[in-house]
Amino acid sequence: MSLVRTLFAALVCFTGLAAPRLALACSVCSAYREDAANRAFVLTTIFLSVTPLLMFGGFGAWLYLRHKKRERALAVAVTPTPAREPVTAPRRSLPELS
Amino acid sequence: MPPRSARTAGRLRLASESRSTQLVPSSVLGMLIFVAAEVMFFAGLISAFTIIRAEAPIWPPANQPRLPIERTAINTIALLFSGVALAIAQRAFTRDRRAARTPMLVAMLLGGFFVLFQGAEWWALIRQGLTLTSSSLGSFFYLIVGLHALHAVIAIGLLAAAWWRLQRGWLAQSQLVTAAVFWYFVVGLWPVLYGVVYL
Repeated sequence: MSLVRTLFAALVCFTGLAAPRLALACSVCSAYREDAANRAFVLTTIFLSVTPLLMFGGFGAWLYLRHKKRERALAVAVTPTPAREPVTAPRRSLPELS
Repeated sequence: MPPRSARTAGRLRLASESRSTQLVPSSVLGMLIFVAAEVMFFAGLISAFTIIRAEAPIWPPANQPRLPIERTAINTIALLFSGVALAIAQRAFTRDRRAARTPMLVAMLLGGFFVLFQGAEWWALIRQGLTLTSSSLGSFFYLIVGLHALHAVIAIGLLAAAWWRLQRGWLAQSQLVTAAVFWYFVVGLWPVLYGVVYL
């Protein structure tokens, strides 16, 4: 069975090497062309790939910064004020019992 | 089982706790997700237009009018100023709610001016022979610019609803931010469309 698979894979590779036009059949594999349409294909592919990454990356960064800002604000609010010196009343001697 | 009042109090406490830990209000988050989907929708349209334009031997196609670049530049500036007015309104809202009324109204009026000006421009172009079926330029122009105008009208409606609530003292900060996010999307998208379609 594995021999059949190997032969099939070899056949596919050979076909790809022997017929490069077939390998360039998809719309974004037309790199050999040097015209405005090809440049437009490449640029729009980059544009459509990068836009969601930038959007969600930007949103994630914004959320992170917002979270950090809130944490800082909470830390300032929760920090305990320094304890004051305990106020001690002057010791008075108890009245003597007569 | 605890009594009903205790359960209600518990639920209220849980609700207030979850609200206090929310980084972004739900309405704003929902609007941001919607805007992200809209950005990808317009990105697809821009890509299709760019490829069609690159494949055309002559652009603009023969016997088609030239798009009014200069007049639309004035309209673009009006829309950008409306974004600035809304930013001023948001800043004012945090200090004194009543002070946000005027800049919000200015933002809406500038937005309305933009839509009406676009309508007048469309009317002139249709009379010159640029229609949806006259050429690929006409098809894409009316599709892309028309969809943006539709978004602008909806955003003005949201701002008007927010302004109405502000007048009555019911407007919450999150409601204003939700409407503002959509308006900033409309404002920020337009210069990109202007650069791609008109220039």
